Amino acid sequence: MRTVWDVIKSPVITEKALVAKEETQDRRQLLTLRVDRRATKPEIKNAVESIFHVKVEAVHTANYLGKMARRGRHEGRKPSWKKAYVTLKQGEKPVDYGEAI
Amino acid sequence: MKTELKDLSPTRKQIDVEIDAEAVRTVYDRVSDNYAKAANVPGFRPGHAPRAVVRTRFKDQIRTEVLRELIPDAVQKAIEEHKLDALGEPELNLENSDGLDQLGQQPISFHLNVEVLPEIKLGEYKGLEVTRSTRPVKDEDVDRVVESLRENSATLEPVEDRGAQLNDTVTASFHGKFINEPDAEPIKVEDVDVILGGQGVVQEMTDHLSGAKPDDEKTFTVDYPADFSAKGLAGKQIEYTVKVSAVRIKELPELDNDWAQSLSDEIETLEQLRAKVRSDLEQQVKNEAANKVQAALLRQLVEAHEFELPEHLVEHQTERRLESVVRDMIGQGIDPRNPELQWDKARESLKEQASYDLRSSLLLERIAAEEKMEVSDEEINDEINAIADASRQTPDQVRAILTKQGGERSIAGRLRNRKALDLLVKNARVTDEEWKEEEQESEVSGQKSE
Repeated sequence: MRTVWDVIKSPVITEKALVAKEETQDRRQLLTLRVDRRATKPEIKNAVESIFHVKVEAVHTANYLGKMARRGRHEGRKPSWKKAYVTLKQGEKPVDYGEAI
Repeated sequence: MKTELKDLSPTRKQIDVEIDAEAVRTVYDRVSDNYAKAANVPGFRPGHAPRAVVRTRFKDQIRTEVLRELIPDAVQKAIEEHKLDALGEPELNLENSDGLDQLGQQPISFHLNVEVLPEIKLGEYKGLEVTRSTRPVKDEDVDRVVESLRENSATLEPVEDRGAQLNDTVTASFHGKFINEPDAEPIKVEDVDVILGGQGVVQEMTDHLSGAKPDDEKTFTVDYPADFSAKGLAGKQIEYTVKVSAVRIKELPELDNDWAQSLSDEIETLEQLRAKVRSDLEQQVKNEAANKVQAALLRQLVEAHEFELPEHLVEHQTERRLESVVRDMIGQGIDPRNPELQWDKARESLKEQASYDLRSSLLLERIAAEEKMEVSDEEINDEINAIADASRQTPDQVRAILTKQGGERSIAGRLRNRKALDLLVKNARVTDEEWKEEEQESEVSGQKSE
């Protein structure tokens, strides 16, 4: 059975994510998460709301194709994944996601 | 930083130290920033990771570094603040885990257990009563010394007209076979002097060699007793083949002025020699008495002052003595692991001595401080020269060794203690007493009781 915990995999902590967070309008909080590739925006919204107890305003997603990987003669690729930018409603407290996942 | 001093005992102090959050935060920030500058975090270009990320990622390293920066400093300050003279390393107990988990939010507090020298309340140390008894130098003593001098300058004269007899020196080569241990390496020694009937010479040897003449060859068996002084021979049966090369007798020089003159340039007659020996003996006896007086005074002093000793110091000293005992034993060919040895007991008695010596030297130090005694550089130099003389080294060599051991200060300390002891003796009320033979063995301290 799929639960909300299967939707969200881990936070994305990169320079790019931090810059995006700083650039959100009206000082709203922005979460950047790695999510299940099959998850839809409503599912992600639902998951974030129930896990972090916050109100979500918008979800943007992006699909990433796994990087090519080669081990000797065998060529393949790393798993593809989906990233979700989740904008919280104005006035929501910042989320410290290190621990909740 | 807040510190609070608690007396656990006269020699143990506890300091409760609290480093306030503010101070912790400054260091914490600085350390994290340092880390952030170089940190290589995935998702960030090197050095571009934000402080918060770096902190979670390098939590343990940063904490260790912060503590390493804060604590030694705090310890030193705490000790200085309370003007404690810490002995050895202070013991540290970190207290609150909150302060460590949330660095910079909470103060860090810890206990310090410090050992210090006890405060010694100096009682009366002047005018101590002590008796001195000097062993009188008798004519027999002088005779004995002269006789042994004569013995030393004796010459060996070959005996030709008769066989060897008691007290003759037989020079011979010995070939010995262990009868019960055919595998053992046979004994083979050339030209050994054996004094017939002398110390350490077994009776059988004396018997068999009696009547021997040069170039004689003899074969005989010797049963060494189990408690024979040479370990390798004790309890063994050995067949010796002996080839005598010389038989000599000890010729003592005549007791006359000529012999006396030959001993030293300053002595002309036998009378002068006797006088010299007598004065030497008297000096020696005087020194003995003086040592006894010192020891007795020290004993009184130690007994009159009750104070607690720092445990570590006593332990340390005991340990050192124990080591030197073990070294001596190895030097004498005894295995220190022998289960028959009662180390517990030895340790106990060494500990007692160590405490006693510590007590006396602490007291002397205290007296020296009380009297504001100083040791000048010249005195130290003199002492170094004296040591050099005694150990046949150049003063520079001695100094080099001393510096290596951090010794110049310890020499100063020793000199100061000696001065204090002199003062003690000078101010003591010494009464002379008749010499009594039986008190000869009552040594007071310092002797090893192994």
